[in-house]
Amino acid sequence: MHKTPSASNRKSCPYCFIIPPHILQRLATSGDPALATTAGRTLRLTQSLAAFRAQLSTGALSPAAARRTGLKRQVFDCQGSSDLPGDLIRSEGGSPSRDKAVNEAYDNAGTTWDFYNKIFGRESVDDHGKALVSSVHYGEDYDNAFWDTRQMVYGDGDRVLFQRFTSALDVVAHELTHGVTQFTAQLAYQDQQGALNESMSDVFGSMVKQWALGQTVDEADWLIGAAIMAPGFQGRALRDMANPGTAYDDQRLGKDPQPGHMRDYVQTDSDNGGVHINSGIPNRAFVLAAKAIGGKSWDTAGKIWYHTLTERLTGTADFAKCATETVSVARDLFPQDATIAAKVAKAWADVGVLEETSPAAALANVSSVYVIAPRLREVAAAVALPAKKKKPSPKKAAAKSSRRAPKKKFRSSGGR
Amino acid sequence: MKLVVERSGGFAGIVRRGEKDLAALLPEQRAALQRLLAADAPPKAAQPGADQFTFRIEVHDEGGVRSLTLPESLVPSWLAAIAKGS
Repeated sequence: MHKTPSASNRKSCPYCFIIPPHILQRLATSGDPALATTAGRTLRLTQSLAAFRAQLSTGALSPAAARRTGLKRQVFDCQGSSDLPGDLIRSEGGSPSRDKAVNEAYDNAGTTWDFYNKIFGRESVDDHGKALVSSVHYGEDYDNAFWDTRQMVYGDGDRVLFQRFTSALDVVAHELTHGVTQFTAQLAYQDQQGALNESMSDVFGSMVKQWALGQTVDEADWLIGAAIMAPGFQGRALRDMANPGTAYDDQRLGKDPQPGHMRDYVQTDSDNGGVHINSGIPNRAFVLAAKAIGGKSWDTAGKIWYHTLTERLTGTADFAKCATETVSVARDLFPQDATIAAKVAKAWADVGVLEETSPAAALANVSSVYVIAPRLREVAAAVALPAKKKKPSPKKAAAKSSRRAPKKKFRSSGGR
Repeated sequence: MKLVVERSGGFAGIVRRGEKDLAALLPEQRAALQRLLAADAPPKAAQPGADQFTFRIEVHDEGGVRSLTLPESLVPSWLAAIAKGS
């Protein structure tokens, strides 16, 4: 059992390096070759991320990271090893490889870049034209894909349960969205913050797929990872954003553990506090909001969530913070249509994060109608969430001061 | 007298759990395990980035049960394979 990092640690450390560098250093020089390699890699990552954080805190980008425009992709091949990035196989504009995984990683990264650029005007994950780097054929029968703070990494799957992770656009867009979150809200990868981090990746992962297919919210399947499951898998996908907990019930993998409501919030030490489990709650809130609004998800609900992620949330944001901010953003972005904010608030109420206080809800006056649900306050207290008050970075403070003073919309007594 | 390895997280978020008789470990594997368990401040699971695996390792022996949680990057491949039943 380990204790949750303290609030003060979290506040100053959006990416908590819980393994102290001295232990990594010891493992790296322990004489065990396997440990030495992996600990060394973690140390290098830690150091590079420390530099990245220093850069964020000064608000200055290094000259090398000066704004560049246009899509730049690189795909590397690890050839079954776990050394990153591997050998460079395809660069931007290069001809297709004979290797399907290389082309899938290249094409799906391109589609994701286009989505963020055309819909939100974003220039890559950092909004400064960072090259999208992918490594394929990572590890042996490696059944995973991850974002390592600098690049995407894809395994081939074990071909028994999982197929190539590059083959699904929603998986690639999920990983790249972790990059967007890293450069914006910096949601900690633990507990509710981590579940929000995961949810943002699923929300935009599904949205990119819907955009590529031209689907409306009613045509969308809202599934995550449907394309990477091997034949014989008993289920529809790894996650069902519209119906969390129902994606699969498989002899070998067990049953989908995701909750879709705060009353079923899962307290666990596994998976960094269940970040891939409790993401079902904010995932369902997004689907409910998007369906209530109708049309294409990226036109309205997607814009609200994107603005919330990139402008309003910080590393310690919990579900309640995300709920109140999305309602506030809905009002700010769509002031001519108060029903949009009302629909967003109702979605969060339907998953138990906000609570409807009056059945005679006046749509135009959402503020008096929803408060943070008591159940959420209990959960927040149980997992010892950090205090909500935090110091905005100078950059964010400047951005915020240019907006009109935010009205108090909800009782924000959650987590105390 | 067994070693239990539970893997959680990853993109799929699916828990895999397997175990192995401690006597079946190679001497160098036992030594590596001892080094991990002996670390003065047990390393914990969080690591930068997202969607990597987290491993919980339990050693059941005459001394009781000792456990630690490790990020994927610190788990040797033979240990990771136990979670997948090999």
